[in-house]
Amino acid sequence: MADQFYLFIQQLFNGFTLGSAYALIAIGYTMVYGIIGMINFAHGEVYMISSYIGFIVIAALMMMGVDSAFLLITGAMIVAITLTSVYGFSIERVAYRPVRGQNRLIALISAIGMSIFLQNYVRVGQSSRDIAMPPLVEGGWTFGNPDGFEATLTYMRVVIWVITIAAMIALTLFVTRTKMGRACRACSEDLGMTNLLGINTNFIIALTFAIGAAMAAVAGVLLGTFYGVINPYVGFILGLKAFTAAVLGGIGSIPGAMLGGMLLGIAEAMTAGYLSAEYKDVVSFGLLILVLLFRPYGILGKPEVEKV
Amino acid sequence: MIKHTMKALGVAAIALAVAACSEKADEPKEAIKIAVAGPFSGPLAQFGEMQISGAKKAVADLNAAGGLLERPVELVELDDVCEPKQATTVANQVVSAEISFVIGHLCSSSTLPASDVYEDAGVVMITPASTNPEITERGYEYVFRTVGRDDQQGPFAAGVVKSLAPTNVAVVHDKSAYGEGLASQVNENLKSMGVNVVMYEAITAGEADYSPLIAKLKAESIDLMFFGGYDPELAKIMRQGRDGGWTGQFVGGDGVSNNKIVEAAGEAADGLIATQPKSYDGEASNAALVAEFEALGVNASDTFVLPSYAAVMALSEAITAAGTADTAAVKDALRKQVFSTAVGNIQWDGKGDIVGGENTFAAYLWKKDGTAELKTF
Repeated sequence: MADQFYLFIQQLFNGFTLGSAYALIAIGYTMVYGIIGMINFAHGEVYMISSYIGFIVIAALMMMGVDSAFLLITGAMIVAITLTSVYGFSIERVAYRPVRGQNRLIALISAIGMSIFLQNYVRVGQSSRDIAMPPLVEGGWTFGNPDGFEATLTYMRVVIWVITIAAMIALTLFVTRTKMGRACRACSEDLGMTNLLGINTNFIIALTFAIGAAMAAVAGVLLGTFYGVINPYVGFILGLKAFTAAVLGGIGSIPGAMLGGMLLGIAEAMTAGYLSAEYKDVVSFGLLILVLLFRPYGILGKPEVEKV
Repeated sequence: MIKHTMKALGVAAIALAVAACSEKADEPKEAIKIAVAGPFSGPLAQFGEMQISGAKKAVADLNAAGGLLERPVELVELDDVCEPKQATTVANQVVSAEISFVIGHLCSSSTLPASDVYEDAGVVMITPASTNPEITERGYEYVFRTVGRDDQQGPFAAGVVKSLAPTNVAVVHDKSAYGEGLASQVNENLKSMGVNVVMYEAITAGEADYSPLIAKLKAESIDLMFFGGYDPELAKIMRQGRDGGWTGQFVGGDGVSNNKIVEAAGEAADGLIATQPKSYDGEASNAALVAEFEALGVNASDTFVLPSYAAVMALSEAITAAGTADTAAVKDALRKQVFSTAVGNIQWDGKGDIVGGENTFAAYLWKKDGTAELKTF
């Protein structure tokens, strides 16, 4: 009985870690959708690029003789967030702004093209091989019965949770308490009207892309160093799952993306743990369909009012 | 008028060519092209590199010895990324470029669809790596392999698992043609040997997080996990396994047996036992060849280097024996004799499998410094 409980706790830990990544990436999808109503399919690739930047910075710092995990992760985080935001900003400028205001399908195709471009760009620059990195933070706590099942909570997992939660709080404060955040909210309510009122909506939209990319960068550095193996294709599956999480939570809603990501991560871990890893995707997409049947706008989404 | 001039010119050219021929006997003739198809990019590119370096050396040796049928040999590299749909594209490229011989493909999931194309077009294909039984079970005449089959590797791997005396075993695969084929063979053999298989599961290749699987291994008190699949996934599973506090034994097939796994998994890879086609780099007869490979910067102990070398060499012997590069004659010649190659004597049966394939596998123990040693059970 106690063993069962610890197993449950362990799967909850696993789900929470994966869910953190989904949630951070889902924020990028949901913010962009909330403001301009398009799905940025290149977002998964932004995550992948941030992982690479993180790896490169960590490797460079290690070569310079830095061996404190705290400094390594902080350094990687700062550089990755900055550079990845620039990527997010530029992607919007190059691939989406020229086609904005036209048929939505055009932006969608542009996004898919951008995604393929970024994958191949990294592939050519960094080779298509898997790149591996030794674990930075080792060790952890164990709970439970030494003879039966022992749940393990590694320090790295705790680091991931703490940083994820901090990033989410920072984002929420930014959106609800700052002038720029208010402008973001105004844009998502009515882009045309906000523009008429003298707010530079082009800048706000680009800023949204940059913020989304920064959140993906947090996930990219943390998850990249936690799982330790990356290649130019890691962004695809993760991006798809994060997009699902955004829809599950209600696309356009930031708390929805956070909740959707966590839910999806935990659902996947529980399915893999109690049923079979084969049914993981069946269950998570089944969950999505169920939620959408009863709440077509997702868990925390608001019904879209048809603008006349 | 112009037509006449052209004709005259043509005749003159032919006359010149004939004259040149009679003057110089070794006029450059059209090369015999051999395509090497495998993953030269993508997550499994390390295997493709082994394949190409083996084949390149073989072609260099052939050309140094004067080529085949007095014609030079040319190697054409074609990348299939180990993706089935890319493999058929590659196969069609081979056919449309009128290349008659293929060394490859590497992944069974690529070899299966590509061999359909080769069989129809009469292209002789020798895979140095694909072990899925289905490949040679379809009555094809142009398809050969230098390695044993999963239904031979399966019993061998199951024997290895059994002799490690585990109490509870998990068999996990990656849903690929190779991974699932091998895992199901191991699973059936373990069951018939009376080994307690508690879990038979699949994972999705390419994902980042396998920790729920680890928790399950712990919960089911599993002390040995067999993995049918490739090294990128097993590396992640091993790493997360050690992180998650699972201390059991990992066993895998030839898809994980390369030092890339140690690079990716670090210390977690220490103690991995993997079955693969027996390594021939230690044989006395290969000493000179291994040294030549080393001079080229190639490690001949890598799984597919010598099999690829041997595949090209066997093919060249068959072409010489047939006296023609006509594929129908070459495929018959391949079945007629015993080839003495770098990976031992190869004799092909009617299906294109090697005779005695069940004895071609061996188990290796991987260490954290990236080396493997032969382990006998």
